[in-house]
Amino acid sequence: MNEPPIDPKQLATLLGISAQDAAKLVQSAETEMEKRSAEVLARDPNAGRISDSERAALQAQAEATGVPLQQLLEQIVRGRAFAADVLAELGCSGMTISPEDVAACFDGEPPKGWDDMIPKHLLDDKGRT
Amino acid sequence: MTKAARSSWLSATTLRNTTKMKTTSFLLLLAASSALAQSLNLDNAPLLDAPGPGYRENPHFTVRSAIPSASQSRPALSMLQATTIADREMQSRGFAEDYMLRTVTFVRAPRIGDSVYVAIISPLGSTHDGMHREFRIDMRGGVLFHEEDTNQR
Repeated sequence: MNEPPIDPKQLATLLGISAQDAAKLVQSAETEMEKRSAEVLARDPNAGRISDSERAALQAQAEATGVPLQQLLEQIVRGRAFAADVLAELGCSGMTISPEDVAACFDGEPPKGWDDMIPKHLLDDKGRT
Repeated sequence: MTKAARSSWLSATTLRNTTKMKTTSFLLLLAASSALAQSLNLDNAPLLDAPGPGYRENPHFTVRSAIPSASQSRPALSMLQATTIADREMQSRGFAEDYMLRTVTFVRAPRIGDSVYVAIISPLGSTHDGMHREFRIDMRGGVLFHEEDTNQR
């Protein structure tokens, strides 16, 4: 749960940049995530809501990992709020990410291996370059 | 993100000088997908809560069959978007005070025109006691356009 949202090493390889530059980019993305999620939740406190069952699952996770429940809850809520906002802004098709979604981020073809950076279950059926 | 905001964010990174990317979109996409993946790690927990004490048991709360996967050409909305829309629609229909919107659908990427099932659990004795409704969402107009009342009192 506490892993960085983007692996700097993978990003460096994908974009052909130094590890140091990639780390800076990841840090910037994390900062943007914090900022955006706060903005979204300020607009809509219900964004990223968690069901009672999910809360129970998080409770079990908290007990298993020792991470405070409140921290886990906030992390999920912020993440959902941020993701919903970004995906909607980018025009992504729902909660999956397609090659077209990624291609729209670039002027030309997205770099080979982009799909290795996106969790497999979020890639849509055609989610391979 | 506005152009100015994006520019501001770009200036805080080495993006412009070190990569061929023209926007921050890809990074945001990666961050969003990661956040979403963490969130969906809760998948084992039912999205639909069982009625708790004080709520009437209703077998129709079981979310029905999955929405068939849609063609890639159809635009779609996220489950979060669908939830938000349904939530607002319910409130606009006067359910604001005595209902608890529990879930929308198990399907991760409902497409326009797909059925989205909304389970509602209302407190016993309330106006909408034990009601279950299902919605069909059409985002062409940006709003939910069709509603089927499947009240299963």
